[in-house]
Amino acid sequence: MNTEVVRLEDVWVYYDNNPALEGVNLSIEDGDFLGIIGPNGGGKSTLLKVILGLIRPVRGKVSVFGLPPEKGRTRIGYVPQSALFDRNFPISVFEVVLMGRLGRLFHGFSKEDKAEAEVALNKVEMSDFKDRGIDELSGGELQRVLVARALATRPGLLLLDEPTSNVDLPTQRSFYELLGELKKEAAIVLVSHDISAVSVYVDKIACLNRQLFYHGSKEISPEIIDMTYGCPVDLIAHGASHRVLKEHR
Amino acid sequence: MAIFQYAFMRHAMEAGLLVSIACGIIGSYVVVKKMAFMAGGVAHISFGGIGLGYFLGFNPLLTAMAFTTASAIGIGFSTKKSRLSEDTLVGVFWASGMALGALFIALTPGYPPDLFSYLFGDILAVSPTDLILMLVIDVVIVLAVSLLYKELLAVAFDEEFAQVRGVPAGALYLLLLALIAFTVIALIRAVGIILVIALLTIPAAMARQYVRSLKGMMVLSTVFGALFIFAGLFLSYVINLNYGVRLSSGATIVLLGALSFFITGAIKNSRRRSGAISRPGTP
Repeated sequence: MNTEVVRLEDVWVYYDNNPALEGVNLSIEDGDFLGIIGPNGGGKSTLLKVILGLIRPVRGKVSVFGLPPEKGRTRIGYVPQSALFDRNFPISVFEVVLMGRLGRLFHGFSKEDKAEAEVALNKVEMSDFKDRGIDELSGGELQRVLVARALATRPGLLLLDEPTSNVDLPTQRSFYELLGELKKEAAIVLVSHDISAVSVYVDKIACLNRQLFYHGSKEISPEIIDMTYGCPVDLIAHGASHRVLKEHR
Repeated sequence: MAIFQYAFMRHAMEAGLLVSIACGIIGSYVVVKKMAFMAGGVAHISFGGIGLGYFLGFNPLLTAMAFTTASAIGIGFSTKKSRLSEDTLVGVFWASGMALGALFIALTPGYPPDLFSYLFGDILAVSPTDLILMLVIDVVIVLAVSLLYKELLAVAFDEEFAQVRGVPAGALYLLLLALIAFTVIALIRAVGIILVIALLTIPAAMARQYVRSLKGMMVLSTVFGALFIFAGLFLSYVINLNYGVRLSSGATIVLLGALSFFITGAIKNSRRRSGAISRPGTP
């Protein structure tokens, strides 16, 4: 049996009086490559923050590597949305990746930290960009740098928030191929509103719209269609957003 | 030159050097973390502390230091604990600080103090005690920033990631607010409460155009800050001497800084448009 990486039991989160997550149950195991899809405002970011221990649920139990999230989260490699970063921030690629080695106050980064950062950059094929400023990177390149930063933490779980927003299709494809390689090292969970991109590459899919519909596995076409009927999803096609699927009952 | 023979001029130069270190380092954080409104608020809040000093018969800069630091941390704390936005809280604290200052001064018996020098600065009136205070503030800032450089960089760049890595992001943010308050106190003598925000933004924003690391920004903006202060001091002195116009040194410093900011910005912009600066990697 695979070891459990993350476990959520009956997790409820409210913003003011509006529920953001309603009774979410989720179990992520070692070796999983899970895509969580759902509409904007469906609680995807909230779910990530609960796993990261940044938001405490009003009800329910969260454990990360068998620990409370505030403790277990150091083993999570978190990859935030690249589009949210201030590209004018004066920082080099290498400095960003080194942040994955943070942990000891009042100490500089050690030789091992720097070596670890180099290895991580190499894995995402961004070693040549080491000394560039982040204002010199394309969206896809910054995305890889953020993955390298997460890898530098030596994670047991990679958690990615909307990894392919603002990235063109060929870049998306090579990015998912990279994730396909990385799943040998760590469990991967990514959230996205873009079902078309996610469904091809991940092994399992869950749908989130305040409630989580976890189908355990990903079967090809008819099953996916069937499943997506189960929950409302924004399908992004040709840059326009259409609600093409029925509301969940 | 003759002007350097005066003790007040030497003190002013020394003060200029000391405050440019504080504003170079902390101004860089203010610019990259987009905290100009917060810094402006903290500067104005200090007026309450100045008034308190007069009211209690204490050194106004010392009471202002305690009052401003407590208020800055108060804003940071209230933002985390309440649902109000930081922006709103800064606005409330900003005005309340100024109003409290006015109240304390009205309650102080005797002649009202020379408020103009606190509002617009009077670097020529810097005393040896002020210099010691500035030096202490510089030492605290340099120590804090060199010990916690990588953590402060991480919090400024990506607070959530830093927190997930076990960096005490909340506490470091409060520390940064306290350091901003200290810097404000160091700068009041030089450019005054109202103009502090200029030295916390202009040198750092200009430096960003020429360097690509936060460290580089800190060093270069310290140099820019010192240049503006020296040049402004000299210019206001010369104008006063030759034309009899008593131009405030603080205003001269700020105007010189703003002028350099716009000129260098325009030059960079026109070069970028003509393609002289290429950005490798960007399509």
